[in-house]
Amino acid sequence: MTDMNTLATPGLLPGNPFVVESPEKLPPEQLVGLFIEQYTQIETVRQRRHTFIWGSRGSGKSMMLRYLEPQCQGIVHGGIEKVFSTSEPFLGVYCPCKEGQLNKTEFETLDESATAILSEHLLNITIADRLIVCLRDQFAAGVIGVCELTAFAKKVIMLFEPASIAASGRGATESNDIAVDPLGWLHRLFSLENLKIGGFLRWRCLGRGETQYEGATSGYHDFLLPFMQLVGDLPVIRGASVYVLLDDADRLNRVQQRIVNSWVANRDNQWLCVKVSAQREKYDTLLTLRGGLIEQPHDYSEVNVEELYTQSKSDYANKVRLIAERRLTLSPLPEKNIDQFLPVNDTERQRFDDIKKETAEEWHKAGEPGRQGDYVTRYATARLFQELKRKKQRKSYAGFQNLVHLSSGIVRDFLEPCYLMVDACVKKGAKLGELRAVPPSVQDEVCYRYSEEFLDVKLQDIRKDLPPENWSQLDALRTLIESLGRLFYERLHDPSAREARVFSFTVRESLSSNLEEILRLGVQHRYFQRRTYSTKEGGGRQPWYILNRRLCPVFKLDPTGFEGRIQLSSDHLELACSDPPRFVRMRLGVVEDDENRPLFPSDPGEEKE
Amino acid sequence: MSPFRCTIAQAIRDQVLQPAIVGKPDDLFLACASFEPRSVKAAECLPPTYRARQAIIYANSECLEGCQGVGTRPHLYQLITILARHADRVDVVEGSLFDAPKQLETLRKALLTDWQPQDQQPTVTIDTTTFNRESLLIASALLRSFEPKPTVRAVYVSPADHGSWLSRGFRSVRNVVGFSGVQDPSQPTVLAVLAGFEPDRVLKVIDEHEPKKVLMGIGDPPTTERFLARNIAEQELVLSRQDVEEFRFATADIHECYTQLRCLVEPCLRESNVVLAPMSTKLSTLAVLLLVEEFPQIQVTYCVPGEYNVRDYSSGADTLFIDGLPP
Repeated sequence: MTDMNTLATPGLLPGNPFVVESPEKLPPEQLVGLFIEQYTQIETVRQRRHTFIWGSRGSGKSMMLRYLEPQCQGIVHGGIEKVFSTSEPFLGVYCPCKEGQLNKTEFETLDESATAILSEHLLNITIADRLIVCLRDQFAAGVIGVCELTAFAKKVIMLFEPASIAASGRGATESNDIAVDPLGWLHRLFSLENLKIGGFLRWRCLGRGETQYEGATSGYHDFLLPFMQLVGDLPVIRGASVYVLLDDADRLNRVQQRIVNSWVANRDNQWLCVKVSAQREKYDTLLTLRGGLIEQPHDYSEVNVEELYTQSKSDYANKVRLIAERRLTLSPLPEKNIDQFLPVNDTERQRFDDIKKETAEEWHKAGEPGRQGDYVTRYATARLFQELKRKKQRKSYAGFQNLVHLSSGIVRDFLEPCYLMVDACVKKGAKLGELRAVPPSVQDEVCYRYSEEFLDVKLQDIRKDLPPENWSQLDALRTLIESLGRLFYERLHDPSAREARVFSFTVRESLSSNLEEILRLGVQHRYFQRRTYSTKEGGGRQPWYILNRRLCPVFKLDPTGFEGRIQLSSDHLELACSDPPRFVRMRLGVVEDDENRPLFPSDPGEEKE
Repeated sequence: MSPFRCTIAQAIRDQVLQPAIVGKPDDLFLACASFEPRSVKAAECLPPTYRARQAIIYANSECLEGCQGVGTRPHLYQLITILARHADRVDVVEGSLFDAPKQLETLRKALLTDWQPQDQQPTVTIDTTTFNRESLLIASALLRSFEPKPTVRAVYVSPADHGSWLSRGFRSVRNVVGFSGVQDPSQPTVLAVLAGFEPDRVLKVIDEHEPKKVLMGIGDPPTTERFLARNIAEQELVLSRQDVEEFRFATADIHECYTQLRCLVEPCLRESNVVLAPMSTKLSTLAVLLLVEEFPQIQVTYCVPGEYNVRDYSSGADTLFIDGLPP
């Protein structure tokens, strides 16, 4: 494999190096230059197996898929032939599911059986067409000879029922000579089939009288699989499996998702692997057309691109460091070390060093509970927050490590604030070629604004995406976040709190459907990360919700870690969704007057991590 | 026919809304009941001499329920009363804003099955004023599926003013049923928007389609002079984006708007998949229909709103526009 450093040509990012562009708009050289293989689980995706890649928008799914296209792999391996000389070669065909192209509303007017037949044909010819265009545009002319391609095209048309494909075949011949331009001929053939589907759907909805579909149909065993086998037989490709890189598959309708699942269930990985990328909560079903359930690991592998942060913070930080430093290397900025480029607030760092010493002393006075190092880790940060509050000073979130934590596992949430920081420096008169570091004050300014936006602007945007009948749930989510933020703030700033840096909660009983929906909404939009936690009493695992660290600046919380978790009952959550001050008073055990007697007088129910 | 415009008062005084062919009753008068007061204005302009063989009033079921229903039902009853004076028969059909198949099925049944034009060359007057754009496109396309094509005359009443907001939130973005077009999977997307006063809906459509380029249309000339400034102000955020190119289109002249769109879109069709998002006047929406009839590969997209500003969507009725669809 080519040394990635040789790809890092300066000047590939002439402007702000932290710009976030749609991967579809990036030329292959830039895409390869920017993509970091480490910590992406790309090895799992590369395996000759069907794979589901789950992740929210901006988590890097499309970037990974496009990186697997031959035009990028050719750059990585130093030539297209070398791509197919590796131990497990593959031909990646990028197939984005664009709005309205596959999930046509007209399908809703057909019965399920007709939808399945036409949808499968549409999916097949779309994938086949993308593959043909890939062979035409991403392989140098002559790499595969015209004679071989002509023979290939003639075999492809034989896969269809002759009478049903005859008209499209004639149409393709009218515009392209199969012996001269076989790929152009196939492209035309598939375009004509596409036209027939479109024409049928349109006429069926808007035309008068009966209409009959006059195109071909194709399925998995009679077309898609043998088509991939024919591709695998082409010279150069030499038996490589075709990886269909199906991006944004949550845009497919339910029947189309079941078709894809049926392909996955077939496990014909020698010739065809489907790499499905989607937002998990929007991919409606894992059922096949026949009603079977595809399962991991039997049928497919799974990659969750956002899990890394909750599994290993250091791996995530390393991943972000590699991405950030690659961008600095490709840019005209003189500083290539991200720690130097994003320095911490030096005054606060010095004070924190002193506080650590004081906390070590405090450990002696407290009767030396546990180990001294653990005590310092647990309390020093909290003491810093408490002192800043006393002195009415704002906490600084500057510094690379802090920004990594604030991004909470989403690389885009690291890159975007960095982009804004560089932009702010340029607006203040700095020249890109001379910008050695972003001052901590600028970093803080952006961090606080970015955090506030997450709480206000983002929620307003989410509201726009919801029907009005769900707005009360969104309001409840906002209130719940407010309640938790306030509670965690009080805990962090209370010198007597034992678990000051608590940042998450578990749910100890079943919840109403309304509360479940509120929490689901919170997870969907990344206000919480959901994991499960093994209960101390045994009896299974409880849902565990961790607040997004992007919210730390707005609530003045510590982003560097969390200790323990609070346990909430259904009643607690109901209160947190409606009355933050009362929820906080109740959790802190503040005695209220008779008129405001606490609802739940006992058991704050805390657990240590 | 040439586009015609006059004030509502003039329209009533001069009895401008005669049947499409003078002396012969229209075969169909098609209207849509809505919560907007102007949904009855065109019908109120019909002179006593106006006759139609049949009137069909379309209503979306969502507009007949809840607080929308409080506004819509009186207008529906008013339309029934008025049109009963002018038509041999008045039918009310109920479609759906949210349920695309129901919307299509309702309009197909009403226009292709139940409506039986008696004339070889039927004439239709559509009061487009308060149709949602999706049902207007479907209804007009269905009417134009007759052979020979009926003479279709479109009437539109512009409001004196619009509220501070028109709609909020979104339920979905989908292609208008029957208008999904045909895409070349290897080509990028160009999105052309005929923008109105709802920037959030524009941003949502851009977000869903992820186009390589956005052609952002501003209605000029507008139906009312001051609407142009508001149109530009509302869409300022979209217009400032790097991947956006601005163009202008006629809001009240179907043929002029069609010609402008054709000039704009035709060169894009060779190397991209074109998606059109009509979000301006109903007459410009009909221009989109003409363009898609010529280039059926174009997709027409529709953003279903979360809710309408039922209390203050529009006020008053300013001008009556009459224009025709070419045969």
